[in-house]
Amino acid sequence: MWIVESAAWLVFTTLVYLACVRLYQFSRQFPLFHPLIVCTLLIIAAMYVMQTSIAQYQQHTYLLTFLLGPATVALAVPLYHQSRILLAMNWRVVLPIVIAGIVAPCLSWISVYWLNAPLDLQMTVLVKSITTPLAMDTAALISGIPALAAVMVISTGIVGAVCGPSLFKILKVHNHAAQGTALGAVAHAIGTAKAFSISEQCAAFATLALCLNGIMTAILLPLLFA
Amino acid sequence: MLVGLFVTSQITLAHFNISLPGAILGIFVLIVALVVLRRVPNIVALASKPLLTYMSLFFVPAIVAIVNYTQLIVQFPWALFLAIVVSTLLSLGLTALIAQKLMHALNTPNQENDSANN
Repeated sequence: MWIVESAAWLVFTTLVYLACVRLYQFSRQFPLFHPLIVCTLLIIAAMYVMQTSIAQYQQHTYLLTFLLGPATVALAVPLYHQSRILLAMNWRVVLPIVIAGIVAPCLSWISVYWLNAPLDLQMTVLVKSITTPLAMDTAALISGIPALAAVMVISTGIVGAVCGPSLFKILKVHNHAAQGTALGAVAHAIGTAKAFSISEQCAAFATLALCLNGIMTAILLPLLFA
Repeated sequence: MLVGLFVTSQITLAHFNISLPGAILGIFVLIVALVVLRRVPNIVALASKPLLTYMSLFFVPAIVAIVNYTQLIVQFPWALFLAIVVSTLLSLGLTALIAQKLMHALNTPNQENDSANN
């Protein structure tokens, strides 16, 4: 019975997710229709209807959570594809990513610290600019809240993807490589998805920035705070 | 056959994930292997593509737990707004400006090198 229920939740989650991806493409990647937002809301609604607790749901769908590990490791593949650009540009592309990796978490930490938020919330915002699987791992290591980290990471990505293009226009940043670097370093995978719709060059730099900042933050934060 | 390869490489990848520094170690090992091989083997390409394409699906069970933290969000709405919206825009703009400055300086000599090489 338990196995049937697990299988049902796994299949249901996957189907809902695939439908949400369709909706997202149909809406021409309108950021508020990001599959994760719509899908999460639908699943929460379904859990409420079925009277399933979150702990139960997470046990049923453990397979999905498990796959996050291999999926993160698979990021090495796009990073490898970008290695030639990285070597050619060396510090000129690494420096802005390092600055983004330091400035973004510091600014968000200052805002929550200034408003007296509790320590676990302070720790959680530090990981908001890196891609979700790394962010959740890192949040757990520095005693933040992994689930909240996932939500903050995704909201950060959406803000970056929605406002990025107009912000670049205002600041007169026309260089696609620079736009990609900023989107990938600050708005991680969702920013990178946006970069794919700008240009291939923009996407290449975004992937690079996403991987580098993610790896850098995930290594540094536990060393500083764990 | 393809499924078999896919599963084995997944297990191998997941194996890295178990060791303490987690996925980071896995990324390192894989990138070093790719650099040594100087190409992406088919098994790795086949396994990584669906994983990367559907990556966000794997987050769903984790994010659903947000309902456990609604109280925290209601309690600190401004802190979260500043942390997520304002600081993201500031860092996004700053990074883009710095990147443009540095890359602009590079563009010209790079093109000269290219023409010299040709």
